Amino acid sequence: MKFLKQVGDYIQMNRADFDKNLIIHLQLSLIALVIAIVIAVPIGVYAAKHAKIGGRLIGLFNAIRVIPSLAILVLVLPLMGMGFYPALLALTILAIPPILINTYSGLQQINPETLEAAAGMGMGNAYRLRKIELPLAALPVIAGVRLAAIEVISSATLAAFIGGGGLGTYVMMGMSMYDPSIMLVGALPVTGIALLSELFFSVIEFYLKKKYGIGE
Amino acid sequence: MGDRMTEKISLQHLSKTYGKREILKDINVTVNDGELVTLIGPSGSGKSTLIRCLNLLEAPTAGTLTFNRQKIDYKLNRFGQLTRKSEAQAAQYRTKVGMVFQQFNLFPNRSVLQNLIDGPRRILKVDRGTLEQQAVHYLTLVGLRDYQAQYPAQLSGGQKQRVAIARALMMSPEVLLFDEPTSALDPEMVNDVLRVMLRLKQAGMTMVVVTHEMAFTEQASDRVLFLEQGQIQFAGTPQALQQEPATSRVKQFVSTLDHHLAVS
Repeated sequence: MKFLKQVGDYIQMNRADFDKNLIIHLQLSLIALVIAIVIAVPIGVYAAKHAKIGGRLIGLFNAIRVIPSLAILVLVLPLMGMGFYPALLALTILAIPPILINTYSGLQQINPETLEAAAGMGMGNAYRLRKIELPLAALPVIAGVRLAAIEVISSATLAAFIGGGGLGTYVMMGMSMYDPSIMLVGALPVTGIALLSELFFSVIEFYLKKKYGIGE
Repeated sequence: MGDRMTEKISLQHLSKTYGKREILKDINVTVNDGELVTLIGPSGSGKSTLIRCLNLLEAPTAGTLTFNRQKIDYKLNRFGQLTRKSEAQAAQYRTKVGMVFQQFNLFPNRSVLQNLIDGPRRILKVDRGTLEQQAVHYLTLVGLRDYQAQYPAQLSGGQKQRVAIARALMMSPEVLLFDEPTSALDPEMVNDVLRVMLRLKQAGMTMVVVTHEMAFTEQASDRVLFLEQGQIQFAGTPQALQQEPATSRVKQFVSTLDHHLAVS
């Protein structure tokens, strides 16, 4: 409890600075996530529609997934230097694979006969994708975004290491000053944001499942 | 009921190959307005492929397809599938030739009512009010008036198949194709579906049905086609089929099927 009070006091005393870092953290996470969705979903659709190239693409992104977050953050350093944008780029790269892979597998799991029925009614390809395939793949896609969100929110903490700012700044500061309470000023809100994001996506998933009247 | 013998849909010299395997060889079929034609034959004989060629879900390797005496043009790409342009034209054509599948293939994410109105609303651009009235009409016809708000997962197989038939009717097709509509159903559900099909026949719908239900075949069809090894081995009325010698291939095949059904 002593720690908590110290954390509260620190935030009170450095209010403007804390708010700035909190906002940067949220901006980094949210923008990276949105860009990743915009990039990953269409590539996932393409991969699902073109079996040969698709398999290779998925393999490639599965490989990217293995690279640790910090490594990707450091790898963009020589390319773009320090700051907000390099951190944003790195986080976007981190967020793409889970969304892309889930979009791909979500579309692949759809019963081909369902699509045939749509074709048999005279629905064109584009219409079918929009009205049948993407809604049916919505749950896996959302699950991918949920994974990506957690990944990005936690990795955004590391953005401070390449001068990107955000709540990781306090973790770094606390470490260099041997002051765990300052580390918590960064760590606790990050944990909170991560939990909120989980909650947000669970609600969306719950709503979708309910809407479709299906368990999965 | 086909008295005027207006030609509705016709395949001439149709063949279909997968790689080196010949699935269908020089098939000639004409279905007249209001006629019910059943396709019977052992599994692997090409029945499903043939019925799927009728609405171009399967692209014939060669042959002509005509609908209302007009040629339906299609071109194949190097994979033996329809080209993008042909696929778009086929989509147009398919709105007039509805299909009912063995596995129903309802859209699992849409309610019964939505399953019925989605297609015609977007493709035929009919307004929602008209479609809802029409949907209630067809759901009543198939005996599922009170199921509008249900989702496919909540229905039995027989109910799903009847929804699928209502969905096909919503497009106001001129021809309905049935690919083994009762093969995936529990026996007690089969008659519900067959009864609906009989009702459609009485209303003058042109139908092509792949089936193993011989009682239905004998009672409802105007003509029976027996397909074996990709060729039509027998074509004629159910009466003509009865008079075939017991040694004929078609009779031998029919004798292996159940006759237990009594469609009322």
